[in-house]
Amino acid sequence: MRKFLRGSAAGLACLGVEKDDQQYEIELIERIANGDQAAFAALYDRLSPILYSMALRMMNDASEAEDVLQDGFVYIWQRANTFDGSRGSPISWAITIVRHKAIDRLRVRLRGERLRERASDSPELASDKDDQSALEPFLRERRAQVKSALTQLPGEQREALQLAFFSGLTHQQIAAKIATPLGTVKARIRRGLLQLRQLLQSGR
Amino acid sequence: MIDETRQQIATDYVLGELPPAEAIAFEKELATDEELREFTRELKDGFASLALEKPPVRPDPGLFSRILRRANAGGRPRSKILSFLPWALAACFALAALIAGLDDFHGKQEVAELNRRDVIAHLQIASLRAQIDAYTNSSAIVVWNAARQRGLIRLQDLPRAEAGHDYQLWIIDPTKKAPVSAGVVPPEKLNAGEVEFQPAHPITTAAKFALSIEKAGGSMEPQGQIILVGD
Repeated sequence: MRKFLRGSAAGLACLGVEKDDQQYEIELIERIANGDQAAFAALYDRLSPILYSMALRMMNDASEAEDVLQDGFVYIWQRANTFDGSRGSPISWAITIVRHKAIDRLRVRLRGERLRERASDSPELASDKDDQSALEPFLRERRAQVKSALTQLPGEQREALQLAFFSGLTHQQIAAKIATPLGTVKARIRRGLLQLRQLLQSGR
Repeated sequence: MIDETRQQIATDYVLGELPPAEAIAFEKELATDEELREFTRELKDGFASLALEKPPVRPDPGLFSRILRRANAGGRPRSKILSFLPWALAACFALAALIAGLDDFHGKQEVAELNRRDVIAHLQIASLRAQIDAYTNSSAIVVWNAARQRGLIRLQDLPRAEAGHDYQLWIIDPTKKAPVSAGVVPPEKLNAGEVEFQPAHPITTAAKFALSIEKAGGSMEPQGQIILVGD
């Protein structure tokens, strides 16, 4: 019995992944679930630059970002059988896993450091120098689309979305951080996400 | 057409903001409502795409071999059926639900749902085994929630410690110089009792859990014999 459900065409489009690329990633995950280390290495080569960049931005510490990536890929190795294509693409599955691992560590850090603030964008760690060579070709175009879409969002929606994604803060904490009512923050995130979805689809 | 209320619920679901009971209810809706499922999937993929905003960065070339070592140490990937050992799950479901904050936990179906959406993935479950012959029949299961920095231990067939001594739980965190105390086990909980614990210091990585015999009231660092260990 097949353990994996295939993603729909609309779902594929939303992350800008060509069907062949998506199919290839699904096959890699299936092979990983069967203990295939070559497939694991291939998925790592394919996705680690994106995931590490995200972890760096969230943790603002190279060593902790490596730990997050380790946690995430070990989880992917152990739990590849839980991937369900009807719930999201392989890349969004991997992003979600690594993001959750980063949030776990951020919350530990926040407890330990009593909410010591760190800059979300370290020039050293998150420079705008664009290493496109580190990305698979199919993701290069997608990255440009995401950047373009984000610039089209109203600033307050973009800020709310970025805080929600990268900071590990809950909506309540975001509301406190930017001194804005919770309902307003939730509405900004919802509208921003809806608009982002629309922009990414129209960019295809 | 998905109205604004459901759009907000879907958004909260994607961002992990829904309380567990509401998330489970929403997932039931997803199972039967194709339009909502597709909408939610697109939101999820759109949200994940934020990770692409910054330039990609290749990690240290040696990182993958470290990941592979850790992955291999944990054995082959889990099969669908053997994702968790049933006996361990039976012992841990209620504990996991409790420390995950699932006040309305009802049973295996909910756990299966939670497992699908990776709620339980945040929990670490460790089986502690005896290190010395005198405790061969003793065991313990630890459920650790890193995000909440809280855990529960269920002990099985642990004899009463000799007078003037207590059992003390430790968390081995590779980022710390010494094991971190997670507290002393009350004597009345030694046989099939469940004890909630909270470490003395924040834990970054709970690599192992250990139970030792210490002087009554516990020690700052382990000094007595380690009797159970597991990861």
